[in-house]
Amino acid sequence: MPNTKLYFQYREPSPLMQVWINFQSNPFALSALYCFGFITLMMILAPVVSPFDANQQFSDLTSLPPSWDDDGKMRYFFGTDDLGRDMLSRIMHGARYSLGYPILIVLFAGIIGTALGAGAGMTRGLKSSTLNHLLDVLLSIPSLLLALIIIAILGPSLENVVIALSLVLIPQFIHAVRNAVHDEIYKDYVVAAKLNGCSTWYILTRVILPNITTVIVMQTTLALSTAILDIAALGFLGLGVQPPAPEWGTMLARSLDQVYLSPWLMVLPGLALFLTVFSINVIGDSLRAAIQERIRNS
Amino acid sequence: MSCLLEVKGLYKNYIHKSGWLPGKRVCALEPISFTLAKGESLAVMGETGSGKTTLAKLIAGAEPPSGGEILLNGERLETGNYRQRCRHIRMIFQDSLGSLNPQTTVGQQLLESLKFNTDLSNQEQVDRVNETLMKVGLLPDHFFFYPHMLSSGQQQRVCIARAIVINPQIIVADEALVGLDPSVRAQIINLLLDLQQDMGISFIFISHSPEIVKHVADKILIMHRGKMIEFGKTSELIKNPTEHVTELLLQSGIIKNQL
Repeated sequence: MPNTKLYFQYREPSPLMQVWINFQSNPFALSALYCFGFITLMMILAPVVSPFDANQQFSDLTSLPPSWDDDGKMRYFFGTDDLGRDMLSRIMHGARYSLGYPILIVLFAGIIGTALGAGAGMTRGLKSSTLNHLLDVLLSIPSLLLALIIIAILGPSLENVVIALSLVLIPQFIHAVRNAVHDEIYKDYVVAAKLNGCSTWYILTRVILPNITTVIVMQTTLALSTAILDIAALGFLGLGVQPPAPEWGTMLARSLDQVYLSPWLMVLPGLALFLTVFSINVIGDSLRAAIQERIRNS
Repeated sequence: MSCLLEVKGLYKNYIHKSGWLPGKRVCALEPISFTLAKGESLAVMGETGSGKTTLAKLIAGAEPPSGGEILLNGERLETGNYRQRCRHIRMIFQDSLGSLNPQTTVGQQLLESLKFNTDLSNQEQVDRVNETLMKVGLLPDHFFFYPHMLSSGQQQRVCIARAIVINPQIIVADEALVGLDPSVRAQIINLLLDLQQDMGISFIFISHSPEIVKHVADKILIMHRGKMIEFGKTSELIKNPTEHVTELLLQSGIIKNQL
């Protein structure tokens, strides 16, 4: 068989590939990425792999401790709560509310915020200011408070939380993207592209966007951890997702009155929440470090 | 020789604005007029801050002028119409790495101007880019390189390739040779002169070095504090400079002694 790779050919990696190589060389970053990937996979596969339905009650097996306890049963790996619902299934299904919805919110806010921010960055004068400061008023109110106001008007429900959090995250994206675009647009290579006769759309999507992906990725990880914590906080306060939905914050709130009798009801959802937010933050931080390293080396 | 480029009363003011008060007007370039013939090289010299770079940017279209007009073959170049301008006038920036997009391959960046200004097919565009890379002494393999993988001399060559890829009539080089070591600089100058011979390009180049100017330029334009103070043939200016600044810039005394 002819060997097509006769000579060793060294190919210098592309800038994005370089970031990935730097990221990979950090074991913490990689384990955080695997952890986050695992949680996401569990969330998607919850209906298939979870042993029971989230709200299925086993009335003869209430407050069963986790399986590693002497009284625990292997069939109910994380034990059951005071109504006899399987904790493992509830946590897996709960990931949909506590991680799935934040991801959707961040995607939505990210797309709208990036579009408006890019528009503000590419234009000048009044138009740019209008786009840039369109939703600034929302920045002055903390996200939780704004959510509370919207919920006070519309009533507590998941939809209202989604609306409130999207509204809070959009201006953050606008500002981050607008500043990044504004920093790039006066650089020589953008002027050179302009002098090449490129269309504005081409300059934005092919010349500037590849150079600000890092900013967008950083902002996304930040926004994601904010959204997760806010949804959980509102659920804990009883203003967001309503029971019996297995949202992690709601589960924490419900477990408060039995914390001495069955502590696992509080520890397990809390641990899930902690792991998710922690892995996202570690990924964000390592990504920033990887990007800085690439910039330093080039 | 026919007149290719005609600059008439071109000037540029910058307005430094602070707060709500009407800004302070700073004149970067006072009205300037000159002409350039086909295949001719014009050197622009002057001290730092004398408006050389402003002039280059105005001619290349990187900045809008405050007034005056630029005529190319008798046709007026409109401000902000990059398509019209870039077919004829191209610019080589001072900072070659800074003027190349770090996230895109060299080939893609050379394709840009062809994509937007010609109706060649994709294959023809790629062929043209490879041909241009060969012309500036690079290899077609460099198509797939990212700018940070090249040495500074090679980056400068890529910038030249980008300027000549759509066969312009005028190239504006803004201190394009400053950061290079002497041997590479000589290579690049010879490259530019060869290209000028082959393609009949006119050059406007900004330089501090009297040796290069003397070697390359047909005409010299001396700027001082935003004004054009002298404009004439290289040999005449070197022999009989009328202004003291010219004499200093060209170091005429030294050169005359050497002759």
